Amino acid sequence: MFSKRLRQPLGLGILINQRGLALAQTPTSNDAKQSLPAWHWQAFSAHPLLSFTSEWPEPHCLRWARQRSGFSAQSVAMALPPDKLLRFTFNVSSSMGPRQLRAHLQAQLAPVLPWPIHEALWDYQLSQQPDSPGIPATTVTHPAWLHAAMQAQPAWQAEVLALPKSWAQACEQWCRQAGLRLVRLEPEWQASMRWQQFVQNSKAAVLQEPPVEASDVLSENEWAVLGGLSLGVVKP
Amino acid sequence: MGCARWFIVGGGQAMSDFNLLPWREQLRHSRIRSWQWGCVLSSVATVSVVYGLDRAWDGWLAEQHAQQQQAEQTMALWQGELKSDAEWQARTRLAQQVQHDWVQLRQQQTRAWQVMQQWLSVPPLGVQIERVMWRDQQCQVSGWALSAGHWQNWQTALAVAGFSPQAEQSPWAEAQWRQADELSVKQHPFQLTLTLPALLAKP
Repeated sequence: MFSKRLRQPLGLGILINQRGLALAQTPTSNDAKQSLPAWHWQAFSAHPLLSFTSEWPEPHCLRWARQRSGFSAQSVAMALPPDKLLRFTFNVSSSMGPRQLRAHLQAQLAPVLPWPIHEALWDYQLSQQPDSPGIPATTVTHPAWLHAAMQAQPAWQAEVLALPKSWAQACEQWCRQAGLRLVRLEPEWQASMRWQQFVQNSKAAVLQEPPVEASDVLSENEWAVLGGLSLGVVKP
Repeated sequence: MGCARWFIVGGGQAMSDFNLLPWREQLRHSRIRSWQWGCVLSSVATVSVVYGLDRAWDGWLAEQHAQQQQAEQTMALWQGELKSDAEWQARTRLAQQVQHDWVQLRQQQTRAWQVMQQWLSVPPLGVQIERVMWRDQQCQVSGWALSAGHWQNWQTALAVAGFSPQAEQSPWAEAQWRQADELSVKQHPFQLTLTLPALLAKP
């Protein structure tokens, strides 16, 4: 019982391109900093995929790939194609609580989305604008002390990513049909950045370049995305 | 839908962490489900513990009642056996007698103290008392008097205090020489029987 609880959770990163799909399992804690993640390539036998975003491979293809790879992980992370993602930036007040902020962002997001808000999945992240006042000086109708206090507040920007819920549901269903559970959908650039950060922190030179077998079927960026997905899947 | 994972401060140096899946809602639902299960289990546990304690308490109470009943039965049996025993009957009678006499003795003692206080309240001027005996509601006094006048005065004072001399008194005796306090004095011996005063009610 204890060994099961103490065991490091394993996740599976899945990347789909036109020629096939690639699977990479989270490196274990023993060799996480030293070696490449275990990966597996499964080429599509019938015909290449025209567009991954509109056409999904057969679920049995994924199931078969997992069986052949011998991976035991069941939690899956996938990268979002850039053409499915919409990106917005909103200014927000730093005095808002999480719920208030969420409601505020939802109200801001609803009119700019091409779909109804209830048919979208979205997530946001806050960043502080460097050297920018919280309240513009031209909108002053407050007393001086209040204006000064509001000026002293840092200004925040919310970066919001949104995608249609139907696409995410199709993705989730595809994984479920293959016996897997989708736990993470993130933009490609985020996964790629995670891999690059991992490589920079690693002392092993072998991580600097993708393996030879992977270079035949995956581009450098695709390899970085796959590696980043395998690293990030175990995070909530 | 979404919620900020962390705040990137100072130009976005920290790693971004978008996850477009509604995992937070799932986590919230799973926590609510865990909480509901916890509530149900704790309720069941509480009810079970209370029921168990109630049963245990009832059992303990029944056992105590049974023990008490058995003790009472044993006691009743012993008392029945004792009632038929001759020695126990004799001792019971004796105890009843002692209880009865004890009341009288306390009354008598109280009466004696009252008489003594009243007796001492009369100063015996010119009279030396040798013996006072209280018997059958009468006080028998014997002693010596310097003269008939002293004796008479003392009797008057006693009468005022409630002690009434009996009608038949011994005759007045002649004076006799006697040794008292290493002195030779000539005194009249006397014997007097007094009826005790009525019992004074205490305030």
